[in-house]
Amino acid sequence: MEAGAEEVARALLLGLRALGAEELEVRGEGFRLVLRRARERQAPGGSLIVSPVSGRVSYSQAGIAAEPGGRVRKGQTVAVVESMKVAVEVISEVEGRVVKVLVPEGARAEAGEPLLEVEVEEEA
Amino acid sequence: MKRLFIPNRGDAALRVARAAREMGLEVVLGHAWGDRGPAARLATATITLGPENPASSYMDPARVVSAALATGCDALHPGYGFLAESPELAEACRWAGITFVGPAPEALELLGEKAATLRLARDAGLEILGTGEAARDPGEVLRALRRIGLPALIKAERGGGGRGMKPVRGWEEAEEAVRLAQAEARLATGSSSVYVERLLEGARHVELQFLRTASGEAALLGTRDCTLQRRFQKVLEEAPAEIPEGELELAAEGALRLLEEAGLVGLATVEFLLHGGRLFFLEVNPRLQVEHTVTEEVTGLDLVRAQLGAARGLGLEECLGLAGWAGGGGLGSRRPALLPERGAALEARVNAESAEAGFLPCAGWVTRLRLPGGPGVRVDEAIEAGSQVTPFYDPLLFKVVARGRDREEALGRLARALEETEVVGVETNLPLLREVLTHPDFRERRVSTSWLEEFAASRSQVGGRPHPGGPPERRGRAGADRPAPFPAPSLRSP
Repeated sequence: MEAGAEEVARALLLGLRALGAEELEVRGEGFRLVLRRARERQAPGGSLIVSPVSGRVSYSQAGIAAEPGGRVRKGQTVAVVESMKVAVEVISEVEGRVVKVLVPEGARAEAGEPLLEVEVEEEA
Repeated sequence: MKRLFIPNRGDAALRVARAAREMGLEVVLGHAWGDRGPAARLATATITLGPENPASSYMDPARVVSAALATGCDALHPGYGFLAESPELAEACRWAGITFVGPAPEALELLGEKAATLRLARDAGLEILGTGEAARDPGEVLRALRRIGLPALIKAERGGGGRGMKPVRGWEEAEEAVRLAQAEARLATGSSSVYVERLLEGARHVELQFLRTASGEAALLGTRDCTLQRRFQKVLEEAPAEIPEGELELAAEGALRLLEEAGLVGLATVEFLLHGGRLFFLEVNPRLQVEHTVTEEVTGLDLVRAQLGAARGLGLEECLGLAGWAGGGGLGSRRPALLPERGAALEARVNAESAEAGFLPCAGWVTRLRLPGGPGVRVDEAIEAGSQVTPFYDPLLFKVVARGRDREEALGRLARALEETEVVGVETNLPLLREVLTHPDFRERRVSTSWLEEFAASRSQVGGRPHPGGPPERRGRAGADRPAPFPAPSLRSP
């Protein structure tokens, strides 16, 4: 996406949240844009770890290696999101393995955006 | 001094621009991409410093000084935050032939080393809460902790503004706390050097506002009480503070000796904890402070004008005259000269944050804004209607300041002002502020530095909603409603 388009998409996402809507579809000449809330993507048996705030994401500050196959423990700080000069620790509620890193190290996440997709495993 | 460069944003840039324009100076605003803010209207010119990330714009001394030179400025006011206490910026200005509105780089260097400042304070006769020694070696930090006892606070040697502070309450957690504190200190300040202080439970945070000129004259411009804080950052401040008479005089004399020793010229705030009727020195902030407004309201002075006068090398009476002091009876022989305070004033910082969710920051767009007005009310705003609140900067939206003939009247005014205030688009701490102002503990000054966090926590539990989302009437607004549940996040200063 071009820089301008990304800004538009961010604004639309905020609008979506403001309306409390689940989905927003915009059709125009030669394009169709669909925005859907993250939880709809939740795979059965899997779980998404979301960022509570918008800000810059760091997994290394939390001391975890964010890569597919990496272990995530329940109660563990899996990411630190820096927002408005506050370091917000994202704590996992589940036990499992990382399937996909949805927001890479150093990138910006919006509030409510999924950071990691985790395959839930039974607690040992 | 003809053209003033302001490399800052929000309320800080606006405050300085207002004073400069009133004095007939031209203003050039240096800002990050897309962050012009309310000060831009008062500027003759604006110039982009760099990307939104402060490290590559507001915090980069080379970019700031180049921009000031490129726009033909002969003076620079750093505002507060960012580079306001940076010896590098003061030095770069000196080299470029630009008048830096603030202390000399040598004074900033000295006062930026917090442990060294503690030793200066002790030598000046002030009481300190630790050993005044900083250390990098974890073993040495632990030994210092054993010397002063628990509970204690580990602080970053180059910290300030609540950054890099970690409480230790039990010996079983001491080693881990030292490790975390040093990691945080390195992240926030670039150095793992820390020092320790006794943690006083039930203390109040009070501070003394000084002005010192190149002539060596100084005045105490009043006191402030900033006890209501979250994450060691102030939220609700007032002037004057209630300090036992003899204790205030001793502290003022000691603080003045400290400022003399540091060679400070300009404004400085000397911060203390008030505990058991005694004052314990914390640190010196050699700059304008966010809460300077309450001092302005009770003294009738314009502190930014006073700063500009001091930077031009004027003497004390000239500086005070420039700041609007009506004079009367001269300053007397008392050292430091004490200016009379009239009435009382309070400041509430309205932040984009959810007090119900542990003061979680809330970014978004401010779609509608209704600011208060009326007798005795002042607003210093950081944003406008239509502004975007981004994660790059602190969550302050605007400050509401109310003054009155006494504290009671000022409190009533501030409560009224916050009632007529409305912010739509982002969640704010307004509901919390309104409740605090009517709370008997605050009205009767029965609060300590941990009170606000405790009160916010108890109030979230009463609502039966420990997770974010805000009070029911706020749901559905932008930023207030978050998809997918997540555990209560833990917050710390980076």
